[in-house]
Amino acid sequence: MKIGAVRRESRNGDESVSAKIEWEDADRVPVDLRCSFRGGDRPSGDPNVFLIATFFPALEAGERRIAVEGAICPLLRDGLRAAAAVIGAWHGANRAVPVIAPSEGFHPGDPTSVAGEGIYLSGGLDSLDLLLSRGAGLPREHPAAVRRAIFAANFTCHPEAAKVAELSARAHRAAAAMASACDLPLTVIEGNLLELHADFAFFSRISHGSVLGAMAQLFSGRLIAVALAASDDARSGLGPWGSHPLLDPLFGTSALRFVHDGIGASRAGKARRTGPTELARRHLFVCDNPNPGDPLPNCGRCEKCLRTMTELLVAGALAESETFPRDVEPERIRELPGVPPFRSLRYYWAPLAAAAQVAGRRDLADAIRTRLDEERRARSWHAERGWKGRLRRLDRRRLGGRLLALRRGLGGDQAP
Amino acid sequence: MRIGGTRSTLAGGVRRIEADIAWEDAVRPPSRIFFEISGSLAADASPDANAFLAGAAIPAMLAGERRIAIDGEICPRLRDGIAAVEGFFRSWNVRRPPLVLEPDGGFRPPWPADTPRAALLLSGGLDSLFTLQENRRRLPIGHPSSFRDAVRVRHLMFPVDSSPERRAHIEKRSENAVARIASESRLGVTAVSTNVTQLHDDFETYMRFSHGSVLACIGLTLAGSATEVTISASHDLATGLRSWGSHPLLDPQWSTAAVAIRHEGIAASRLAKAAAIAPWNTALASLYVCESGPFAGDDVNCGRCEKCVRTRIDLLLAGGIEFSPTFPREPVLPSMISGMPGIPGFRILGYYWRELAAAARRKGRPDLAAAIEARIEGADAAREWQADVGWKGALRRVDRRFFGGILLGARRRFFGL
Repeated sequence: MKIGAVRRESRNGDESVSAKIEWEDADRVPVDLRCSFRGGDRPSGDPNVFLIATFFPALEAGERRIAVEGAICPLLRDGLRAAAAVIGAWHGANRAVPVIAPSEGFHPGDPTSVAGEGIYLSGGLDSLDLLLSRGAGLPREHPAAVRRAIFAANFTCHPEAAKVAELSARAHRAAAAMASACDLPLTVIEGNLLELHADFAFFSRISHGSVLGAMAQLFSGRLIAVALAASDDARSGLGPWGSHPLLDPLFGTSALRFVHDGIGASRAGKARRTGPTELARRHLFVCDNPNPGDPLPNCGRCEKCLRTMTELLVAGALAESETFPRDVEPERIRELPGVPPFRSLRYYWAPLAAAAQVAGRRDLADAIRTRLDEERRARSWHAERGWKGRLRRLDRRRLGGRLLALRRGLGGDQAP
Repeated sequence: MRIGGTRSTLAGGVRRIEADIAWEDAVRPPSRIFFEISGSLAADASPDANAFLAGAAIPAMLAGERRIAIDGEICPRLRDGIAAVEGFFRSWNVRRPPLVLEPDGGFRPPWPADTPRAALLLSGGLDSLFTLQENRRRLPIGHPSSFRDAVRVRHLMFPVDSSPERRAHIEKRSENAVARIASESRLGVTAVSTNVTQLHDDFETYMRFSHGSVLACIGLTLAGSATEVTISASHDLATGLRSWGSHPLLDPQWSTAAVAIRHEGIAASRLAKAAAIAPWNTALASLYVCESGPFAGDDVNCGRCEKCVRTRIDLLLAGGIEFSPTFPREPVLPSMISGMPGIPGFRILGYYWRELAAAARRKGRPDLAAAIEARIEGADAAREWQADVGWKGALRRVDRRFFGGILLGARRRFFGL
């Protein structure tokens, strides 16, 4: 892979950096990657940005080297090697790590002498909780104080472009309101770094932390660190995921650290701590499926909405919410859409069943358990567990699936 | 638990910081925990409540204390980090009630030193030498994250009341090793003595859960001057990151807004580290890995304990170094492997040695590989026996539960086992 033509330009008041990406081993078309700051801010023209953004796609595609125009931070070079080792250890795919070949060698950048941190703000529960906890008690002049909020526009792999735009606009409104209430400037980053990360499973399981890490380096020279809110907590054991406390710091440089923070609190704990705040009550936005006609910012029907609503309800904070329907209907949970196969409803919802019961909402607890049982049965079916699974395998292998066809023809159960 | 009475004295260039620890739920006597700091970072060391909290939190958690009341202010980042540590312990099946922190000065972030200054916990062993080498390779001296100071922890051993002879012998070897490396690498040396390990029940608990927190709390005592303190990884990604007291996910949780605690080196196996430092003569001439002692002669390392034998084989296979200057001058033989003492039952011999068996075969030393494999096999069998694994284990459990161990006793009488 070659990363060249790294340049910074100003157009219509927006400052942007771009680079041309060409593949050397993979049979893929070149792409121009671009990041721009909306609203007058000036991004760093650091080639480290594009190296981080392209590293996992290059690794995945089997590129043997990444030639970069400019100098690269040696800390980042070693961090990326370590990141490849983390992914290899998690997924058992020990691919050859591309050799990083910068035209101007490896040179560490100096951190800015004007200290301060940035924080990614999506409008959701995790980032709002981090904003309130990481910034808590720190006077603005403290070197570790949060001095800037960052919003990554269109940061999703949703297949419908219109949906992406709607989702991003609503999240932006929420993040802007939260930043403004905390008296923080908000930088909006737009661009097309996700073009190389279009596969949702790859993006979720491996690379989304790296893309955010890449965009964080746009602030190199102006902030000493950028913090990203954890979406998972330590109690879960922190399984493999594309944004992870083991992985994200590896996308830092000697000039700007990338911090993964917030693993000490569960999502229920965040809902308890942050849900009752005015910021959450008025602005919280988590929805995966917003529609233009919705009366509220959050649809209240998608999995993420229902989960967050249940979390807020258990925390006693849903009844006052201005961004969600103010109650959860058990029917909605029973009809809850599934999650992609590499995720698990149980992972997110199992703790909520007990919590809902304790909160006196046995109807919700029962609905959650019913839905989780369905998921378990579906997963067993797909994994062909138990004697039924063995029979299906035998049928497929020896009888060409005739037994299953016969059963379906007679009106038996369909695949879950 | 209560942590109070923090005070600080400076005499003869040694800064002594201490605090009183009183247990509330556990039936344990009160104690006075101290840190004695001498050298480059001593003057600005301060009795920071965060350091005492970091040192006491895991013993308090494991002993079932419900709260820690502290005289002073606590950094909210450390508070959140301790919550994360509790979370990790739960995921490692260590379940304790949540610890409530009650600082009488509230949660307030401390201010870092005016000038960024990075320090490395340097023992003179393979892991920390590798971390130092990497830091020098990546960053120019003068960069804020380039190490300026080596922190040497004195007497960090179990049992904590080892004989004066053992302490003196280890101290001499460790001091010489670190002084030599630091001199070449332009590092100031800070030596820290502490009795914080006395809060831990035993060596196993200390190693499995908390030695990272002990190293981190030492780093936090240096908040007056140091802004980054690095702990070197002892485990690596390729071999597998086990639940362990110093861990890349645990150690950074002890950071405050003034001092960042880092854990570095997880991408390199011990063999890779040996290969990296093998060409570094000063490192080889100072390498100190052995906690045995006292022993006769001037060698830095005994050459016979498990750590010594393993390190010698690391150096032989990765760097082609048969006679390393700090070990007894004798060839590496399979008999060293079969004759070396075992390691504590909570450690897994194969974790440390399996990589070496494969490397020995690759490097044309099947004799060493066979000896290593025999030791691993023996250790695995002993572990299985102790864990009552398999049908034999099931039989032993039945025998114990229903026959009071009569079958096992009979077998031992008949077969003399």
